[in-house]
Amino acid sequence: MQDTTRLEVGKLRWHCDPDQLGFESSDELDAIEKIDGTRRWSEALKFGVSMRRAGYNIFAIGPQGIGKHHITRHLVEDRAKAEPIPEDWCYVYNFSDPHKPNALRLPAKRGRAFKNDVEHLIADLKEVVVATFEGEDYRSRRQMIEQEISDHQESTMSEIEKEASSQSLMLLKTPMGFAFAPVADGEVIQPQDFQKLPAEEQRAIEQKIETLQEKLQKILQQVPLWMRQVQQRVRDLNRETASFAVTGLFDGLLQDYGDLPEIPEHLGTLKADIIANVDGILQMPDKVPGDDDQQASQTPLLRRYGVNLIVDNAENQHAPVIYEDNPTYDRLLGKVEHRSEMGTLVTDFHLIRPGAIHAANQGYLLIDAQRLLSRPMAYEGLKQTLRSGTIRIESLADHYGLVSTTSLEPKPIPHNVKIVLLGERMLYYLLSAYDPEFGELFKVVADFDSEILRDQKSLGQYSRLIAGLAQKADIKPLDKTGMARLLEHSARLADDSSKLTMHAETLREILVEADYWSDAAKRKSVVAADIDKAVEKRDYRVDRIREQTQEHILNQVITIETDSKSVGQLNGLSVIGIGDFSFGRPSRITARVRLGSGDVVDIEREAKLGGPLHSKGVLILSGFLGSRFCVDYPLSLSASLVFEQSYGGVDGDSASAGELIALMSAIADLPLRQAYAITGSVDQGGRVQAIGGVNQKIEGFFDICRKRRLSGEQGVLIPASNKRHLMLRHDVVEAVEAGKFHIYAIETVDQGIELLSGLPAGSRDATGAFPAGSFNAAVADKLKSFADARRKFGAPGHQAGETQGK
Amino acid sequence: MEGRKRNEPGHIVAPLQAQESSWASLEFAAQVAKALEVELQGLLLEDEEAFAAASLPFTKAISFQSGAVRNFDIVGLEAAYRASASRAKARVSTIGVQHAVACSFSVLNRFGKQTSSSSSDVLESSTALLVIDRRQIEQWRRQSNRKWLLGVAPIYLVCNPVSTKQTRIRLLYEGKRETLAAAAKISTSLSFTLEVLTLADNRDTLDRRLRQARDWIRRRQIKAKVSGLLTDDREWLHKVTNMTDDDIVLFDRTDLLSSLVG
Repeated sequence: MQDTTRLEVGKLRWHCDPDQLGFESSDELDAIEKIDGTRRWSEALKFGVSMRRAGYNIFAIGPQGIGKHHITRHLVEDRAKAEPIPEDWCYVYNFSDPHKPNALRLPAKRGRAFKNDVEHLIADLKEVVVATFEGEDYRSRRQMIEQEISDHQESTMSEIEKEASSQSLMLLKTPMGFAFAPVADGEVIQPQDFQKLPAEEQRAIEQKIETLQEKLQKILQQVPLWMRQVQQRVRDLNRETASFAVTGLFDGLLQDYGDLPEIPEHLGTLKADIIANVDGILQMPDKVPGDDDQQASQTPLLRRYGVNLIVDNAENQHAPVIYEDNPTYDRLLGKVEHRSEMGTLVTDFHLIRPGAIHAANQGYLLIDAQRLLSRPMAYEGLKQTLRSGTIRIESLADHYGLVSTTSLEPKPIPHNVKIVLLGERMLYYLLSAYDPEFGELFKVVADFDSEILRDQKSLGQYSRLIAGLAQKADIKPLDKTGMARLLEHSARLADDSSKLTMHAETLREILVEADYWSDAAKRKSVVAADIDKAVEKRDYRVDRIREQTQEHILNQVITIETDSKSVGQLNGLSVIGIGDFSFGRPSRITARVRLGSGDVVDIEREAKLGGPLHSKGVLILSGFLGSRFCVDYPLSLSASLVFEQSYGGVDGDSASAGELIALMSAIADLPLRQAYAITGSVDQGGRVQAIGGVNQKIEGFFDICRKRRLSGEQGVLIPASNKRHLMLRHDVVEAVEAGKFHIYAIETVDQGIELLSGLPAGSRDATGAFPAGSFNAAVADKLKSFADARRKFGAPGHQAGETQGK
Repeated sequence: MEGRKRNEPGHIVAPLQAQESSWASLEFAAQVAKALEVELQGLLLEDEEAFAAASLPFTKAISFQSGAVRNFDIVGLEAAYRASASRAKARVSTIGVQHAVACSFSVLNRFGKQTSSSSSDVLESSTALLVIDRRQIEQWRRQSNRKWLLGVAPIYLVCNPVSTKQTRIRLLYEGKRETLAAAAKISTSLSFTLEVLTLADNRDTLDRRLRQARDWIRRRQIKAKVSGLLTDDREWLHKVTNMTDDDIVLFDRTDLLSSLVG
């Protein structure tokens, strides 16, 4: 049995022969940045970017660090290069509803020219208007109007003055207003002189003054009306003059942009507004010297004539590909900023800031899904934009009613942007499960493989990919031994000797560190030893917990037996993960049995240290025992299973094969060899199934054995289906080669029993009985005796005390 | 202001009334002060006749803006003048800062006393240049209590500050070189053209004054037109008064000013 399950050295690790690679150094290779192929994700991405229909946005999924951002971007950029440059967009003042700035669309590259042309118009505006209004023609026409009213006022007042004078009265202009006073000898009569006048004369004077006052009052009441008439005539004149002044400025613009549908209309309203507000333009202060911020220094009147170009494709040669690194709501969809003015926050359309989606319109926008979901409202905002087909800039604060500052509602801009979300698979599955809209908006999933199958073709491409990584990281080339060793490590990272990992980031890190060690050794290329050292040192840096754990075992703080025999006890194996680093650790599994009603107690679960998968594994044991041994009588035992000295959580069913054998050992009261450790899950039929982390588990037990001295008896039992995953360390392989350590690949629990107990497992014969002296026979006998005892306990008149007495 | 020659204008006086229309002449006076590098003095004039009228029991004030009638008494008028003085003082100060000239403000009250002046009595000074708004002269001429203003200063400058056509200074020259120098400085500083109309009642004097004026102007390379007018006939005054409203007129004969405006 041992000979058939023991693995040969050649099965323990894939060895990459440097001489078979076909090159001496990586710099001979034609470096590539991605591995081509008709893989699922590649097809999906190509389909997604080509499909320009609503909802066909892409979710590229795959583990972190495999380079999906880079590959996706590369592919999308290739596609974008063949697509036209999108249109430019700008926001302008809405003269009929200033609260809702208008969006204007211009053909690609014409937006910047339009903005500049309008700015030139604004810069020239005051000069042209002032020059026209200072012209002789305007001034004389205005003076005529003002003179007319002035003459009218003068003559009216003059008449009143004359009339007053004819009645020996004087019209005085005082700070309190006009006043009439009687005069004598050209001067106002003093009060004492007035008192000396006869009463009748005094009354007559008063009467005359009263009459004149009424007359003057009526005239003065007319003055505002005259003023209004003058103002109206001056306004009319101003409009006419302004129209004449600015028409020339607009003619050129209309000629240049008249072919565009929305621009002439906007220019028309702009011109009308300038004419209507020419007084304001004339009263504007001159530009403050040294003030470089032209826009900020402009008066509100001039600011509203400007153009806020939010999408400028002047420098682009094709459809844009934008990657938004920080996809907050504002950065994605744009925002309206405010500035402080005299202690209050104000805004206008110039403070509308575009988001990434504006820049990516008619192109592609790549977003990291996890970042998107972690930014408040960003995902909701993006979905709303995709649903509506328009980009609407709304402040988050407005959404929540957090601010009362006046803001704007810019007119929405239609979009045709392809969104490419990049994230881990779990995110995709969660969104698919919990967001009903997600499937409608992201119809294409591109699932990145985290590893590729190792064959001759892929090895060649993979070597070129590594050469590309080396070039990009600006490190020395790898010689063939370095490349071979990195390929081997790639297989180990893939946890499968028949595959290679696609985790480009990890490979890049190893390359960079190997380059460092190569420098330290003064080598001109990276060789196998540098890769080994890089991997070893990487492990060493995070190795403290492993070392401490092994130290506890070696010091027998944690009890792990590696050379004796024990009943109901064996060495299980678990994997402990610390960040990116994981290592195997042996654990002592013990089982105890007694008469009972068929319960197998998972102590880990009872202590709330066991996860559901572990509990499932334990429950399977009852199924196995019942079906194998207790077909026609009840399973009448109580058993307890525990990972001794385990103080953290335990999950997974990879120990269930070990637990079953430990339990059967306890039932049969037969000892198991502690020189072995076992890993593997088991089904109800006793078949041993594959588990994860097989390399780390074997190495974890090997390290303990080696440090205690390899006896040549020690070894690890693994599921046969894990053989393909073996990529063991060289020292393990060497120990196996020297016959100091053994790896067994078992398919059934019985194979494990035979290795661990040294006894034949035994199969039922034609009568249904296990052969005498076999391990299974001992188990069956004990279970039968439990069942009998239990039956006796259930018999009428039986007393508990009687049983104890016997 | 260092090294000023005797009889050259030492300060500019801008008589102000309690009306917005005064601000234009104040602005112009500041430009003149800047040109001559002298102090600007705002002088608010209280109208004694207004106080006499306010003393009468039946007089009323009619608002300029609305035509509304209200009581017109001494207390109210004094308060209104105080408010005007406050506004005028602030205005003088602002204009002084704007034009970077030293400035002061005082009030000439109804009793003929000058208050709050920062220098000597502005009107008794022999170096004052009085800037008069042509429109004010018309009012002063009608109001006997202000006619005296037209005869106290050594030099007068009559302007029409609201006119947009003010581009020429006309000096009525009767031999005082200080007045000629002031006119040259103002015209140069404000980029106005200068015309010197030399007056004399006989040919010899006129020729001598013309020669003096031309020599003085030539030596200083000033652009100016110099002409002469004999004042020995009745027509000369008519000719002088034919000057347009847009001219700035500078002269040192107070009787001539009275004649011109009267």
